[in-house]
Amino acid sequence: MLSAFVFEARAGRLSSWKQWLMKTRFQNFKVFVVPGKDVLRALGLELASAGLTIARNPREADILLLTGPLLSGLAENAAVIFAQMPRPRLLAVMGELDIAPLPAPAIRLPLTQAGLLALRPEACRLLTAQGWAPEAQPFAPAFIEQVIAGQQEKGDHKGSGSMNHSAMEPGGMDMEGMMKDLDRSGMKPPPDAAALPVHGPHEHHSMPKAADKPSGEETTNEPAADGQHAHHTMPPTDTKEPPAADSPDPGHHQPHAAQAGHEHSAIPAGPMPHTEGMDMPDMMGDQMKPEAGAEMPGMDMSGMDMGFMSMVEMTKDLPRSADGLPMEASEAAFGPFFPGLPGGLNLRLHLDGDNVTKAVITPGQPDQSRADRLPLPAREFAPWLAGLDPLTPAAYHLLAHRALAQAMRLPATAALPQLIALEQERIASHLNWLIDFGVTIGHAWLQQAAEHLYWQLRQVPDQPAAVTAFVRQVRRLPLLRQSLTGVGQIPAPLLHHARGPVARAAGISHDARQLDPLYQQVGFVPVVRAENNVWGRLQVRLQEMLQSQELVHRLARLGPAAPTPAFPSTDQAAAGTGRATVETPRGTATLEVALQSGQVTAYTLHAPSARHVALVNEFVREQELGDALKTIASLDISPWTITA
Amino acid sequence: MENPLTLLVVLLLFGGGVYALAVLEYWSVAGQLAWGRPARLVLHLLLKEEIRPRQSDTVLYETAPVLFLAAAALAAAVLPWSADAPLLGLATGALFVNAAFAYVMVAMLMGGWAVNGVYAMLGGWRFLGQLIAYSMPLVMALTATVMRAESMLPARIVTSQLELWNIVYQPIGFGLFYLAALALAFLPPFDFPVAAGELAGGVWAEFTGARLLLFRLGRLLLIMTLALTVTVFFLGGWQGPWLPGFAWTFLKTLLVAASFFGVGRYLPRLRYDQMLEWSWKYATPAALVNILWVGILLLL
Repeated sequence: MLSAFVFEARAGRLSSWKQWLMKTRFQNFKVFVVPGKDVLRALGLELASAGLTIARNPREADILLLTGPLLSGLAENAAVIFAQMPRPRLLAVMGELDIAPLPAPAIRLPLTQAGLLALRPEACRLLTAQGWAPEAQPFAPAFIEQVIAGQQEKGDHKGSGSMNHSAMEPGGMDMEGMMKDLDRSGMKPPPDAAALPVHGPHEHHSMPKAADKPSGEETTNEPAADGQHAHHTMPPTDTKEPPAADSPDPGHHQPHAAQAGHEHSAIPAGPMPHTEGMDMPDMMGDQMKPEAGAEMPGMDMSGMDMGFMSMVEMTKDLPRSADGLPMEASEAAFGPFFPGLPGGLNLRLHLDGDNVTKAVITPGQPDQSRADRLPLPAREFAPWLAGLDPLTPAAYHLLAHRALAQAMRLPATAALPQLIALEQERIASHLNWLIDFGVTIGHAWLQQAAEHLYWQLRQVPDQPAAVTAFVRQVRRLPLLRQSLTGVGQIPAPLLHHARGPVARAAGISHDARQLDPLYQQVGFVPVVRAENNVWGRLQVRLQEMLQSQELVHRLARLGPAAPTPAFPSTDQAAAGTGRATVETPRGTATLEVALQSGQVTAYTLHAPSARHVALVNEFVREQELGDALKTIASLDISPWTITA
Repeated sequence: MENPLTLLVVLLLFGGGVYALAVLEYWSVAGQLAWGRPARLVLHLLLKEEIRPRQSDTVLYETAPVLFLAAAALAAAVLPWSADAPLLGLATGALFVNAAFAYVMVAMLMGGWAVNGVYAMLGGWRFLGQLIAYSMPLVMALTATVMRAESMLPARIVTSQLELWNIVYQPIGFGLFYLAALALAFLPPFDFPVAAGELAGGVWAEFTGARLLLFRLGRLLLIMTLALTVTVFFLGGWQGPWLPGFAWTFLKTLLVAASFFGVGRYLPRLRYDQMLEWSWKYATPAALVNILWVGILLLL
């Protein structure tokens, strides 16, 4: 038995009946992709042709597929995802990755389409052979256990009903953010009136640890699998019951009284003053009293009917949202592997009911192996920088190339093939974004048609008719305009921070290509609209796709198809600084490099997504959750270039 | 009580219909008819481990999938398949159907609450908002058909459509009921509670194994029942030439269900408050107009 399968297999014996079932029936594998489907597509890997489907949710996934690259913390998040997947499950890694908390992968593949094609038969073979194992264990890495234990120790004195569903969501969870929250709770963060920073775990009653020990039984993989689950505040009446509540036997029913107690106290589940609870324990104590009284079934509270709970009474001290209603305050991670959002984007939303009160995007750090590479020989710098952003490598390659050429005081060479590649990448990037945008807005046709066109263009880049037809169809989709106009408006004072299609949609006519002589030669005019909302951004990207197509033709006509200029031979004494600008599909990116003795010693990259990330909280606030997610999706943030 | 053989035929047709719906659902997504796929998916789900979320609400967690399935099955039990197979000929059949459908919401709300997670909770509450939106048009459209038949007995409602099916007699009612049925079955564009892009699976996100299977199966059953309701109340039930009654019911039901799956592909998901707005500002007055319309026609 491979040691890898201790965590992947289900507990039990692999009978011949199960083996037969696995071999013949267990074939439609769902794959959860880390860091995301957009990266997978950008790397040129097509799941559909490999006979696999995407899992939007770890609970429905069979295989966890890790392609690169990984930012810091993504490996831990992936470990949480892996723990949430029901067994039998498999871990597959493509390429060379450091996946520390995860167990050794069952399947290692090269990062190519051929490798992906081998995934399904290999998974079939492995699961048939080892899908069940008597020594199977739940996957419970130390850091998950710590967080669970830490939450339980914080205790919950008021208990009552649920309220605080925080954090551990299947969509991926920011374990580090969670640990930081845990650390913070010891100090007293300034009360934030606008947001309701309820991080429920700190208020919980200490649940008996026994209930959460990882159990070997397959049906109770609670702690490991649900390490990410919200800490449910248990009402005081239930403290006698917890073993029953978390009993390993799913069929066990709680005694009636406790049930009643639980339900009863679950009802005044009105929002609890958890904000206060976090940093002002004494205030919490005061507010305890009316609630505590209300929780007791049948307790007569100063003249009220037996068991009647006045909502007004109970919620009078709670923090209110802008419209005056006290709603359930919760906090959840909507990343880094949330379906529809860019893969690797560490987004956390504080919700008030289903309105967003605060959006926090935590930039990740590039992998250590990448970060330590400087100083690099100039020749290797451009490919290295291109590897920084897997979504638009050509743009960053061109950027590095230009910056280095300037640093070496070389004349600006006409780089037609590079520009053509840039424009083709623009079309591909916008399509890639459109696929995930279709997921966010729940538009099945858009997802599928965009993906179909994406792979078509990947094979044969020059297909103007197909692209034009597609854009025309998208523009004519019913109700799309109505659902997207009025969503995602950037407030006027902040508009100058916007970049790329986001800015051009709002009427700011700024495009780095305007200053490029080659583009001027082909008569480039930026695509500008006056619609500062999600619909406008969609329109701008669609129009840019059409424009890029046209530009590719015009650029090709400018001169013969020259090969990509080879990088000038690195003069060992080359030194200097260089600066270049390129209009990436997401906006203008600027790079400054410092050369010394033919090696790049330092660089500064200003990427467009960084600006958008800083802005997000300002205009996502007070939006409904769906609208907030559409807004964030419309910004087309690249998590790879917003590294702090 | 009718012939047990008839009952068996009806059950087989119903079961076969549900299976056909599973195939149709995949066809609407992938464009191919994969006949073996639903059976494989059932086995797949049964072979997977059942994970119970930590600190979930046991009663609600166990009840939600079962109630979901039961609500759909209950509503189906009162809908006739032919003149000889009225099944449970309830004199208040139309009302019972509505009452049974209400438990779909209860089950989804239970499912959303029980699993102790933000996504599921939001999905559950959103479905409650959805219920507020679809309930009035649903009930009022059915009321207009009851008015025409002057009886709530579903078999009587079918026979009242002998000269003219209700889809022609009260087209507004049909349109409203159709949309309300889409919302009740939370099919796109009304898939708020289980949205992948917004809630990563929402209410169903934390269910695994057999429980998820019950939910999925329940939803197919619900769609079948809703299509059957549309057939019985608006498309003349078992009426049609040449083929026996239950065959017509079956065909019409499948057609309606196939259209359920196809309609939402080209529409984005709106906000549910927009849905509520449309419902109360436009759909409910339209339903009232429909009732007025039917009343006038009946008096003439």
